[in-house]
Amino acid sequence: MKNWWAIYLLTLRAALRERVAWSMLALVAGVLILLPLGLRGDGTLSGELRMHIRYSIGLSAGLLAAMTLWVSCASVAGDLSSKRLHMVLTKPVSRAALWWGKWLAVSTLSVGLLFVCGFVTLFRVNGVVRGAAAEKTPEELRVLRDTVLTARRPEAPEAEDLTEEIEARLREELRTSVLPPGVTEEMLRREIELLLLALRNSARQDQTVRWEYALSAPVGTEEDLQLAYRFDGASMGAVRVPGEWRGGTPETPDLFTRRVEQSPSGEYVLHLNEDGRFDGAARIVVAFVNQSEAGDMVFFRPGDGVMLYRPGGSFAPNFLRALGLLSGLLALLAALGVSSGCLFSLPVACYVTSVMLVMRGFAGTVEQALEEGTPLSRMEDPGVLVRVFNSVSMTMYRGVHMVLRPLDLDSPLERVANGVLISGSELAGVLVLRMLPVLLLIAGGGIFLFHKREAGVAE
Amino acid sequence: MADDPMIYTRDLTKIFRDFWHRPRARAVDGISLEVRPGEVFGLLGPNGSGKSTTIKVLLGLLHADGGEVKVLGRPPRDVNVKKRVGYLPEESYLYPYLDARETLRFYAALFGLSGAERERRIDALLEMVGLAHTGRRRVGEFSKGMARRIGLAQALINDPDLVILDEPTSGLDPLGTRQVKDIVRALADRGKTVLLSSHLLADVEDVCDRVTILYGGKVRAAGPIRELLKVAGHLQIQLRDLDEDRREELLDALEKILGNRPSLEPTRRDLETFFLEVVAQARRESGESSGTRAEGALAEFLTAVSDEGRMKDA
Repeated sequence: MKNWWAIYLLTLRAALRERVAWSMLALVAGVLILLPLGLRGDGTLSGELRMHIRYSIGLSAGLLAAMTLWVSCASVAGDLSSKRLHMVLTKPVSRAALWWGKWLAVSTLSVGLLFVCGFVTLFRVNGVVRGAAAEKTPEELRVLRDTVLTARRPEAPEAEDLTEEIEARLREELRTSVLPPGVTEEMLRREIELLLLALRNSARQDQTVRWEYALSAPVGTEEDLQLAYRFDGASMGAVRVPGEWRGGTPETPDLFTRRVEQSPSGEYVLHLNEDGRFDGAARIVVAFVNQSEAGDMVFFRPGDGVMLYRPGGSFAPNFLRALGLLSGLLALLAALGVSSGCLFSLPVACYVTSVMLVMRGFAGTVEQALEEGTPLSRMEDPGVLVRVFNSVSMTMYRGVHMVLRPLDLDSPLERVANGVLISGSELAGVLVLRMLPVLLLIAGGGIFLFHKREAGVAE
Repeated sequence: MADDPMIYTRDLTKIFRDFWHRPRARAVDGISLEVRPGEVFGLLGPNGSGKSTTIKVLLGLLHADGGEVKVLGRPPRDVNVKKRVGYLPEESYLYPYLDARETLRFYAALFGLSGAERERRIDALLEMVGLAHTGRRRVGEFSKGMARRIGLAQALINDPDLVILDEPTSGLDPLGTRQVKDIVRALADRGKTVLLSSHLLADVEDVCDRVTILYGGKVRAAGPIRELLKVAGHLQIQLRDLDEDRREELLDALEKILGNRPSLEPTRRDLETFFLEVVAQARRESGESSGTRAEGALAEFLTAVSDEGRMKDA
């Protein structure tokens, strides 16, 4: 038997016999059973199911992340402080074998529990859908099938190049006004860009807003082509906004027209190609005409407010791929915990990894600091001490950002709850190209420093 | 090559440092040792004399700060060296959630042992340390003495060429202590090398060929145990018991030869021997007690070491 396998089995056995796994299972079971009782959706069947998917798995994954960090830290640091690892390290086991054995066991445990939660959620979703079949209207069931119980491949609108317009506006602003203290040119440029994007995605009374899509492949014969749209929060307040959707190709832009009068909350879906009019189209143009007589203005979320969706598969495999992405995250956390456990005592290792987890929650702040600089960097005439401090903190931010970047998963649960496809190639790409290098980096660093560490020193 | 030392240190130094890397304690201070193949070598010293630190350096758990260390002719952290070493730490740090058999199975797996060979060795070792009937009990429930026995069994699972025993009799009753000493001697008889660290002088005296006495991290005395314990200027004669008249005759004769009258004292057993006889008698009368049972013979697989064997994996 390979010695890493012996370490793997021992660590798994420890988690099971010391009741860590069972207590964790009980905790997530509690979440899965009790959470649906306290959740209130938006009143629709789709909303209810989305809530189930987001919160059941989201909360379970959060608990499992905490467990993963704890177990991974304890599996090495705990064994070192209790000196059990001394006996192991005097056997012909390399530190690398020990690291990989521990990591694999903790990952197996947390990923296994995540998939248990996943299957329970799938089972529950299935139950809700079966129960709803008799009670809900065909329209509600159709919306459910179109927006949740599916896996749609998104086609995003082409982004317009706004550089020239941004620069022109920036020059004009700088000519006519003085930048307030603490505001950099870059911050102003970003503000102008956001403003232009908002204008491009909004329509006043009688105005038309337009999007163009270069499809990744021409539309197949009678392929279901969904136009999904949602209004930005800024549209809230208007009760119902009448308008007309038009769709077509650049040559014949009116292949599809539909009058609507909808509330700004919620996501709506129109099926453009029900009669095959778009078959073979490679570029599609979509427009919305605001026909409000009350002067209401509507905003669509820039970037993903108006999307075209094409069939990409079914819900269950998509859901499992989302779990695959979360599994990668848990495996990285396990690596972080094992490496910390190799370097520090148990309390310090737990503290370090918890800080990393908290910092992930503030990833947006870190990114903003990298983009715009820290408040100190915007000081007029900073002293040497401030400059040094700022330089150190920016280097730290860059390091943290580098480590946290692979953990930024583009909301897999949100996507699966909205019926958006997570493709197999995307899953493989994230796991292999983004997470694996970070895993190897964490593993390499952990093993190297573990090798340098004197295991026999009393703590 | 066959007589190359199994353990070799020259001016070995180990300094413990604080968080700021300032020297805190010089635990080992220039120790030079040479343990030859097939001998039982004792490392003696009071608590804090540097015995355990020296052993941890020999096992690669600590780095030496100075001097030279070689175990089986290689650096101590070499994985190939570890394949041929068995180690019993001063306390048996076992995984409490494993039973005795699983514990041995785990350590056997670390040596790459599997299948029938592994099970055969486990059976033999459990029998040898008198725990065959407790194979399915979790070691967390074991008494200290039973845990030491399992610790000893795991130290021998790989049929090591070099066995390092740190305070092997600590926590053992006199029966267990005697058994450990018997095992150590039996191992030596089969050509194994044993490094034994203890502060219990009787243990060392009974089994060791050579000893080194440490104090304050330094070697204070070293040599073959018979030489070190020789009392200069004194001789001892042992006789069978004599009646009162013949004793007087003997003392008169000796007084004439020596010029002074020596004293006669009855020969006494040591307490350990007496205790073992009492327990053996009790066993014959009332059977086994709970916990450990009468130990078996040395496990058959702990074979004699050939020169080829010594060189295997090297």
